[in-house]
Amino acid sequence: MEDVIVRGLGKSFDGKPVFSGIDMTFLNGEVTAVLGPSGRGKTTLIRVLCGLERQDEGEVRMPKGIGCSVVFQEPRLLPWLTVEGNLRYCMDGEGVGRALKMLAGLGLEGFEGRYPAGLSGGEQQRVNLARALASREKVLLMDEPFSSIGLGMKAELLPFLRERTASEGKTVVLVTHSPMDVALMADRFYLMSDDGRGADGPFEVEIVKGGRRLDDDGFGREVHKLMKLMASLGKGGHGPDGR
Amino acid sequence: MRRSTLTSSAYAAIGVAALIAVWQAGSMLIGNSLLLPSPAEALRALGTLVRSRGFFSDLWASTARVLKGFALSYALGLAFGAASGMMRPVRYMLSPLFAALRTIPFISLSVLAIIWFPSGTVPVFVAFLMAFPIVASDVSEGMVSVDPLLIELTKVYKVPLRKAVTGLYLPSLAPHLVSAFSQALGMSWKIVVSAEVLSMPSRGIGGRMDSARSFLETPELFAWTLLLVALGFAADAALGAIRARAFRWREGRLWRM
Repeated sequence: MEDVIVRGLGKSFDGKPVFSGIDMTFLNGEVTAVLGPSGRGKTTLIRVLCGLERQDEGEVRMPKGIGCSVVFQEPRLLPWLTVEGNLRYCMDGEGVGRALKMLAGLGLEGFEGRYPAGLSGGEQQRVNLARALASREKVLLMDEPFSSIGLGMKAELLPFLRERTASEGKTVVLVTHSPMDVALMADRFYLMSDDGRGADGPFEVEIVKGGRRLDDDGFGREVHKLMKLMASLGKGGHGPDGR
Repeated sequence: MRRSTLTSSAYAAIGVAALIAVWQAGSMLIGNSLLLPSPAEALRALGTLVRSRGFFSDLWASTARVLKGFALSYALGLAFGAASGMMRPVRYMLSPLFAALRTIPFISLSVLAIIWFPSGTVPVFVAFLMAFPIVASDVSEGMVSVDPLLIELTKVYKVPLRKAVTGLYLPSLAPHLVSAFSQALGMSWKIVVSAEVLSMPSRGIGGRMDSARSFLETPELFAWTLLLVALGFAADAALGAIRARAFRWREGRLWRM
């Protein structure tokens, strides 16, 4: 089993809790979204999961010998290296070949020799994606990976990413504030609540497994339900569709 | 890119012309080459100087001292700067020493050094002590300023140390290494020549300047100064060329981001 299980997870900075008592299960081969407005510790959750930060309570059960690759919120490219150089910095051997192929799959063919400064924000972010996707690690953590990517690109990109990660049997955690990302890509989702008591869900709001296409009839309805759910939680309630 | 270098060097040329014009006007106003020789007289003196006996051995004696003092300060500055950049306790322990070295007048160091060392070593020692903290603090700053986000990236992707050094740390440090290089070199020249005037080694530019002073050979003093300025310009230009090559990745930053 390559599921990642989180039990009673809590983290605070300077005595102020960011979240506490988080229970989540990220199933292998699925994309699990963690939805919530900013400032709820979603990034901190990712940082704890990949080991950049240590939790104060609870545990993260990660399968033995399994590592993480991370799509950071910022592109985090080394400015003095070309796109290819950046991929080579984090990979070696056949990983580089995979990353270059992934780059082409993300529509950046011919960009290998360019420097980050010559790329748009969205292009930089796609290099960041290619880097994480090419990694052999079974757990893929994504922290608001699509905030600098436009809707048209998202509609193409997210189903492609879903397909890739599912076929490679990855466990994907997608942290986002965008209901649209959840509808396009996630199999299940949790909601970060606003009182620091952790996460709720899974919810009754049905989202289609495997993600919807932008031109699906139900796409808009699904996004709308997710938005209502977020809004109701923002007011402290549990929402009409709560568990 | 090209156009901006052209205009910047054009402005530099205007600046130089203005300086020479002021100098010329001043010398005409004063009308006494013992007080302020004209640019032409200084140039003529430089011509005579270059042909004079012992010119090259004096020039070389000073250059060798500069190179020794500079190399010593750069090597040790690199080591101490890297250590203090990586380890906070070292940083705190070294900071009083650097602060002291920055405020001590070089004269008091030179006078002490004259008591301690043979006259030829004094300029090397003083130049080393004055340039060392510049290099060390620049390198230390560079180590501290390595982007923490990229350090995290390096951790998450388990990049091997050797790759991290050549791929992340050295390139992050490069601007600091270059600026420390040019500052330490410039400082070494100034200090070596000044210390030579005080310690009077048998060969060296400082000694020649001091005897020019005592014989009231003001044009020769100007000639030596011109020579030092020219050397400084040449070093800066060479370094500028290296810098332009090393930081090519910055191109494009202006119009796309």
